[in-house]
Amino acid sequence: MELFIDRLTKQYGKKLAVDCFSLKLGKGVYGLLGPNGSGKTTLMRMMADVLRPTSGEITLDGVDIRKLDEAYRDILGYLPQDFGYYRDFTATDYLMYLSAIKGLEKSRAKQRTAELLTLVGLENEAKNKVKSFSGGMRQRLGIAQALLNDPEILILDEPTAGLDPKERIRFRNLISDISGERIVLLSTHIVSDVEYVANQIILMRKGEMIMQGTVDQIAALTNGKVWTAVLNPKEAEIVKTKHVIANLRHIDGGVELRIVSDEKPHEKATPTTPSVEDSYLYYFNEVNTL
Amino acid sequence: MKSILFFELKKIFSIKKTAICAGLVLLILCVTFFGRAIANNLFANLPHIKEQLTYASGEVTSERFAEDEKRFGEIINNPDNTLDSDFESDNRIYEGIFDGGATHQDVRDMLESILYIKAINDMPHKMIATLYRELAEPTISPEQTLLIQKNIDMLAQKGNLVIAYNLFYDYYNNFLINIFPYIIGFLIIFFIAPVFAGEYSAKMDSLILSSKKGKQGVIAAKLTASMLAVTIIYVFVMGFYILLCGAVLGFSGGESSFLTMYSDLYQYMGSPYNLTMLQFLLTTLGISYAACIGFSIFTLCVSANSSNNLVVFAICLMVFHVPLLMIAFADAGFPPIINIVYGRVAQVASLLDRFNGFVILGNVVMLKEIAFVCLIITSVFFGFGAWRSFKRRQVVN
Ligand SMILES: Nc1ncnc2c1ncn2[C@@H]1O[C@H](COP(=O)(O)OP(=O)(O)O)[C@@H](O)[C@H]1O
Ligand SMILES: [Mg+2]
Repeated sequence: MELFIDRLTKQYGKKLAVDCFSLKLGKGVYGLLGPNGSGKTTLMRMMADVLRPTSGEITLDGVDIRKLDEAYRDILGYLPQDFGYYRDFTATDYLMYLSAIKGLEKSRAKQRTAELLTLVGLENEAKNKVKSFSGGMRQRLGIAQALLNDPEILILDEPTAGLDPKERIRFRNLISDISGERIVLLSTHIVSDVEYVANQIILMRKGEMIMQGTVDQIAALTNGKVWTAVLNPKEAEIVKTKHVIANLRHIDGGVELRIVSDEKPHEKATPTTPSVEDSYLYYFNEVNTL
Repeated sequence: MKSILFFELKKIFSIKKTAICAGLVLLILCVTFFGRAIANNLFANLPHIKEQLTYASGEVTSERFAEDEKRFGEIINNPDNTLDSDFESDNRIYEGIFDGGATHQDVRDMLESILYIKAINDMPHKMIATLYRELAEPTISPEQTLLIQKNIDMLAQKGNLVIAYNLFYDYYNNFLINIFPYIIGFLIIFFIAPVFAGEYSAKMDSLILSSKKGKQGVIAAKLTASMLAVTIIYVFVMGFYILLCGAVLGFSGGESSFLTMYSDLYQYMGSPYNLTMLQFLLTTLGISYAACIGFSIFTLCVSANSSNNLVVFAICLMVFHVPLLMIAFADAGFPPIINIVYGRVAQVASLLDRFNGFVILGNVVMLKEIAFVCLIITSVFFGFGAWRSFKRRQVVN
């Protein structure tokens, strides 16, 4: 099974939200990493068959997904970034309805609904109305619905948004557990979400793919460009204005800095092992907003 | 499909909304019925009205009137003593009655009723005579000739009116014209407008459209559920009112002519159609139901094209209610074709109450047939439009 995104472009007026984006996806977990506004949601909508590309196409084993139509959506699970619910529906109603429109038999729908509510830790909320749920609970319900039809292609748009740290870890484990024989693509602007689960990381900026590789490959992009230094506050101020700071910690005797920079930022700086986050910062020159 | 249908109905009839609406509607229907009944002093007059109409039908000779009957018989049976077809009161007759010493108010009413009904009975002949005169005009066009000929043919088929106590039908007709369209139009909009627009505004569209059946099965289920919902609403509103009327007034009178509505003689007196009350009831129910289905399909189409429920509400209210209100408050100066808008078809009266024919390709086509064809064409068009709009919906925000 291979999903091929071929020179996909989406234009809103003059704005290119996705710009000639190409990517081959085989089985595995892919982390789509990019700052807000980089076109992740737009790309995923086109992959979920809810938005028509301006040009380019997406094929599954050589066939355009829009030709495959039901057959494609039958094996698709999609968690939109922003999705809703019905005020009157309980969590069970919600999943039963989505099962029905995904074409599950009623008995199977019941079974999957119960299984997934347990999997996302909502088993005690089954009979409660979705409108009474917190943001994190709704997000977990959204993740559950994406898995109802046991999809071979799973597209998750910012799946960890609204989850607390414990829930995030649970989500990562869940993705690792189910990843086996599927294509899983998840987007985020938070590096740590994908660092541990993604086999492949795709960096996206202004609608374009700028880099694709394994966690190690992406991290290695900043080999020799990541430094640590313990400086006094005055020195630290000067370094901060000139370089990208990955981390800053006040310790006894000064400030410990992690700096991403092409050249040695300070004579006291020593090189250190880079991480994906360092590469992210290096390419987007933007401090992560957690 | 069956389980999707169930959920679509569940969404349309969400419990709180439905309960409030049902309660309000029942209240309005009761107020409508009893309001009119009380205003007309129905409960005091009911025996009298029954007596009057039974007397008029010639079935029963009321002993109470025996004394006056002979004298009135002379007035009634005198061919000169008919009210004009435009129902201007004929003072001569009244003077005759009073001078003759009519004692009871109800006797006077009765006599008046009988004279009216006699006048309606005479109307086809008078109208035919007028039409023949028009036909003889030298300036008449071939199309007008066709229309007049058709009108004469229809009028000629009308026999003598069957009269009976039929107040149930009278109340039904009054409801159908004055109350029902406003209520049903509002209910259709209220329940059907969110069918598609609600999915957009609830941000459920991305989930639906990315699901296997989202671009076909779901749409089919939504359309089916909407038709079912409108049927349920229609049966609920109409059924309740009909049962309420029947319970108080009795269902009798189905065999009488629909021109003899006790309190609404004016409505259909010029009608070229020849229906019994029962036929009238079934025909009008069918036509107004078709209008409701047609309008709900229109509503669905608007709904599929807007994510704002209020915009859908506003557009649909404009289309359904505004023509009704316009005509109700300024009943003149509109071409007959305005009567094929949804609200007017749901009201039915204007399709049956006079000769409204058009010549199309050399054939005379009646307005109700045009309305019917338009209803079918627009329903197919809007149904397809709703389908296509939802299927092709782009999730962009
Ligand atoms: N409906 C739209 N109309 C106009 N511009 C849009 C629309 N949707 C997205 N965009 C623009 O496209 C770009 C990509 O947006 P999006 O795909 O939401 O990015 P991300 O998910 O990575 O935050 C943004 O600059 C955004 O402003
Ligand atoms: Mg996004």
